[in-house]
Amino acid sequence: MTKRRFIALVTFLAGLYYFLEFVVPPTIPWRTVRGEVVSVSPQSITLLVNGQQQQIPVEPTLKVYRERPTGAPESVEPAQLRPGDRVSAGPTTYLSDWLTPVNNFFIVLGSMAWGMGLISLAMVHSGNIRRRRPEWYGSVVFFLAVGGGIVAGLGYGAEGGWLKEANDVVFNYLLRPMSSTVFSLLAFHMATASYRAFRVKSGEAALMMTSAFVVMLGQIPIGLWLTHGLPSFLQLPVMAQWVLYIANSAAVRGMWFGMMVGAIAVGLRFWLSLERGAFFDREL
Amino acid sequence: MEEIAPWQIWLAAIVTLGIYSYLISDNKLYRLLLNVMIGLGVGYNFIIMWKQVLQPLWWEPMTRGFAAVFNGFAPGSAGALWVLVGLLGTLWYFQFSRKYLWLSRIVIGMTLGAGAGVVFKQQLLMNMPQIADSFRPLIARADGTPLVGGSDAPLSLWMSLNNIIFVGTIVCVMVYFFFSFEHKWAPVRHTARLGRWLLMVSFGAFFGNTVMTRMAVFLERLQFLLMDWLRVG
Repeated sequence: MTKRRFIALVTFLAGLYYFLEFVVPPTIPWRTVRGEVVSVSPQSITLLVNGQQQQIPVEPTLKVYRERPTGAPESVEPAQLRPGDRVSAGPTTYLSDWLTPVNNFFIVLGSMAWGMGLISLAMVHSGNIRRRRPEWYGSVVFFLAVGGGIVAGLGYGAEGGWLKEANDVVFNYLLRPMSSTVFSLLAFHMATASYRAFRVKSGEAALMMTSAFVVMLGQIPIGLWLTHGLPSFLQLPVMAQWVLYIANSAAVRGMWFGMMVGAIAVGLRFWLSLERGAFFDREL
Repeated sequence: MEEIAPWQIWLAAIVTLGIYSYLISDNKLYRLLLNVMIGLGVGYNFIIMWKQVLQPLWWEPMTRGFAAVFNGFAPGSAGALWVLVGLLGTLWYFQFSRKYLWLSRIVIGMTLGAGAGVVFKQQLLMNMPQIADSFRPLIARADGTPLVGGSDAPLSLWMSLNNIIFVGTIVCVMVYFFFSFEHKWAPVRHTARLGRWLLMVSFGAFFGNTVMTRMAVFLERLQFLLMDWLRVG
């Protein structure tokens, strides 16, 4: 129980930083000044606030946010300011200052899990070889390929030499063609799947099929050729754009808003260790 | 541009055809090539991960920090604290131990907690502008501004119709996904049904787009085989 509580506490603390960083303003609200920049010197920034000039001393704790044309704020150094910029300046609450190091911490921590995948694969393939399972030689090839990949990876970013050549060959003539070929194989799977899916049995299936055909034909020249004599709004490329940017984008937004609420709810359950299930209920 | 050696083109063509051999039937060559692809990918990305993430973000700050510590705690010594992250990172590997499995839960918990924290920020920052944009005027001018308090652009029936469909679709889809109560009341039931039809239009569009993407990749492969390898055309 103590272990479980400790892990719940660690989980809570890890999420707490990001939560606070989001809800706490980057500068102390009651000491933050908003206005238009009049002049900037290494010692102070002069702002025009409600028609009156106000000097703000440049201190190490001062945080300045400039309003972008879109209205979104960007953090800038005082020396980057120009007269006429709309800014808000005040003492930092420190939380946002730590965002990059904390992000780096979690990126590094997550990256260290990478070896687990390698170990898992190595365990599966070495088991295949030891027990001489069917096609065990495929596992030997796997280990050779891992070695080849590591050697090629060492040439990443190299200016010249055989390592760079190995990197070019592995990346350009093995990995890239193989991954795009596997990716394109799905076109054939989808063709057979669509045959089953598009047998029009209901109104919904008919709608789905019509929409898919409009989008597919609208993106190839034959679509324009077939409908070029019709009024512009009945031409397939125009209809495809309408389906994508009005009907599809609205339906996707409807789904996204639901997903947003769901993601926040699931996030809260994880953060507060309220989640239950096989992994979370297992005894420690 | 660098000259491509014929053997390199042959190599790419052989692996491409080897994987396409799966279209005839599942075979040993295909499975062997999948092992090659996974092995190369794992080995290659392992080194890339080191070079692009762990080396610049962890190893270099840590070694610089230790150099500063051995230099009489010179400025930058705090970088040596990255060693603790390294120790924390090793906890992942207790997944392979039955006795000390719980230690790996510490880093899993930290990662889940941080992920949950990021979700609040990410979801709200990503969706708030979209929610604001979804409130479109139902009677709109040609530039999309509302009839009252908008610009001087003329009233546009096309824009208004599009906005009505856009807002209506969002409402119908959201009603369809609203499961907190049973869809018994006729207006809710009909709205949800309309939402399901509109979702079908959307799924069809997704399907069409995905097929076109895969086809584009297939055509690129075909172009390589015909033009670069066989030199046809």
